[in-house]
Amino acid sequence: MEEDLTADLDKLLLVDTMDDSIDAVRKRVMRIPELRHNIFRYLPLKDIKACRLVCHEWNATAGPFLIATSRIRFHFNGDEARTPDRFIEEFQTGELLDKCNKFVFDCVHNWIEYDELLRFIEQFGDTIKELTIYGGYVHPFNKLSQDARIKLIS
Amino acid sequence: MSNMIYLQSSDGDIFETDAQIAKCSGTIRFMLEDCYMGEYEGVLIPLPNVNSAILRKVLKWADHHKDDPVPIEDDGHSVKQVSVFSSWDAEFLEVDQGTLFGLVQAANYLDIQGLLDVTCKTVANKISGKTADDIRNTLTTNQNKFQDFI
Repeated sequence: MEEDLTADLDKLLLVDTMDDSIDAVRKRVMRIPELRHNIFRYLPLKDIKACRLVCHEWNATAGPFLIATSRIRFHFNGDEARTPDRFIEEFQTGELLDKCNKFVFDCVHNWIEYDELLRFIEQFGDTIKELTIYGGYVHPFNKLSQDARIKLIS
Repeated sequence: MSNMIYLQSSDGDIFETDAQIAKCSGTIRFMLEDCYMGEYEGVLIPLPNVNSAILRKVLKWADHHKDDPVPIEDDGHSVKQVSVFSSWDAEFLEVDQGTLFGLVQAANYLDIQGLLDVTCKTVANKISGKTADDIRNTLTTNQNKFQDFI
């Protein structure tokens, strides 16, 4: 009777370790940051967002992917203008550029801003990966049309 | 000319394979070239982190891909272009999750970039569309810690 019990227990433990080993290998793989990194490369933005909510470790791996799909947008319209000069200091240290190197220049419609754009490109052009320019002459009362959009990718 | 070598899995099985095929693994390639200085006919390499079921699959994959061009390195954080992998690979990876994750682990340990890419993409497909809760329950060990607080 006792032997039967031991045999049963052994069987139970065996099944347990087999179950465990699938689960264990799955969790072991997902605990390795390099492997998470490799897997996240294939995920679309929506899933990257979900992965950031899983735990601190996953957030640390998924975060850079979110930044990599982001773009820094400058626009020059009125009071809410966001011009590069505010950011240039941070760009110079290189940290921000390492993480995000895609830019959008919005509403480049007079020569002063055009100069600013050129200066920016001259300074950081080597590291810019993607640059979108919404350009052309825009009348203050007209909205910028999609036709005016130029997209340059380097 | 073919050089046969032997690979020993964690559970002791020994596999005979062509060195050229085994060399798709960076780990094995460096071992053969650095430790045996190129004279490796008949050597036995122990692979304590790979069991025989997984090693058999890895060698099957390596044999099928032995004539592939050497992959080009890319930078770390860019989101990978969705590449279509061959129907052979898709069929090869129709396995249970234990085998799939075992292959990811083996590809990482053996440093086989091509196999790592296809297996990681397959895992990504499995994660895709799931909520953070679903993922937490199946793929992390943290929920135990969390339950301790309740």
